[in-house]
Amino acid sequence: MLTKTKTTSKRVVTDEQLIARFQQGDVQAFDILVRRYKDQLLNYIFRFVGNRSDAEDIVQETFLRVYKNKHYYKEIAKFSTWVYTIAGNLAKTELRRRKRHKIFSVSNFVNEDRDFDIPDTDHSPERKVDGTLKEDIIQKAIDKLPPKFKEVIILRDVQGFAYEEISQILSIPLGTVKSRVNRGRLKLQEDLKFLFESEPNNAI
Amino acid sequence: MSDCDKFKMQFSNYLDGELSAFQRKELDEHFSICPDCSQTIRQMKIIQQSLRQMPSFHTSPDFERRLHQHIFEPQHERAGVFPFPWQNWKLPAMGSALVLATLSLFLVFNPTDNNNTQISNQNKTMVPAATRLSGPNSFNSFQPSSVASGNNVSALHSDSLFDDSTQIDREGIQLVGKRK
Repeated sequence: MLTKTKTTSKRVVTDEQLIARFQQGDVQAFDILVRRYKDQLLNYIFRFVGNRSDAEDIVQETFLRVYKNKHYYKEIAKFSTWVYTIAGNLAKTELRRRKRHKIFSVSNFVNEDRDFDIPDTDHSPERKVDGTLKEDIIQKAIDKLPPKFKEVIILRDVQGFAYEEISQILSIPLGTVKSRVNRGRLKLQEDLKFLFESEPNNAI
Repeated sequence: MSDCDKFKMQFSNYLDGELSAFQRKELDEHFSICPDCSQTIRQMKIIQQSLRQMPSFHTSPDFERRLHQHIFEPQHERAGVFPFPWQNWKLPAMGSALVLATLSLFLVFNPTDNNNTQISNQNKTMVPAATRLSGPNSFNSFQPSSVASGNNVSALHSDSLFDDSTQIDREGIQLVGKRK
């Protein structure tokens, strides 16, 4: 019971209070922020760059920059907005670096250049693709999106951010966010429709 | 722009429930008569649900220890996507060192110097013989460059060449003169 009370009281402390404490020299507050955000940032960056190891390095760099630049944070923005902006910028830098070094290789399995076939073991109308395989295919389709669509799709549909916060994280107008989300979703549908073509038309 | 394209601009708002009742009814009516748009919106909804259900990952167990290491031990070399800038210069620096080492070895064990040493230590008739074989350039370490570059092939056997060689080893020239 005591533990539960302690846990509840810990959760009451907001991110903004923690960063304020950290700005005054409380390193433990920084550690709590790291524990709160490390996994969700990893998932955001992993979906962005498509590589687990690089994603973890980028999250490390993100927290390192938060540590070194803590006084740049102003309370006008949410801490989550600030830390996601830093992480997103680092991820975009990484993608640009890969493009320069030509090590960024995305298989063109979608559309006409699919590099493998979906196994057709079930001939029933409700044919289902294996879960893991489906996740891989979806991840590759995300990888193939242009960065400006990729970032909004990950933030909105994978991470569940509100449009307003995405607008703040990316520093772009709300209307642009909505427009990019719509175009990103349409692109994904175009690339992934082969996965769902035989499913019954009753999902809506 | 076709009706379908016009309606497609509203698909996300439809999925997010951000349309007015009138706009929603208008789209529903379109879906009832357009199988393509109906299939597109259905698949968009399935993809959206799949994205929400994508598996989550956790950072490695030593994530925080490594972070502390990076923060409190800045000299710790970080590998990965953000290497130190000087790491890009390692390869060129190593290449330059190799070239310098090779050059140093070449200068220390310079075959031209060895020949000259041998020539001075051995029978002195070798000096003009070398002159005949390799021409004036074999003496370019002793001659002014204008002399070396000014002589052509026909001048190889001229007296002036022997005159030049007299600057190096007068006794050797005398020997050649005798042979001649």
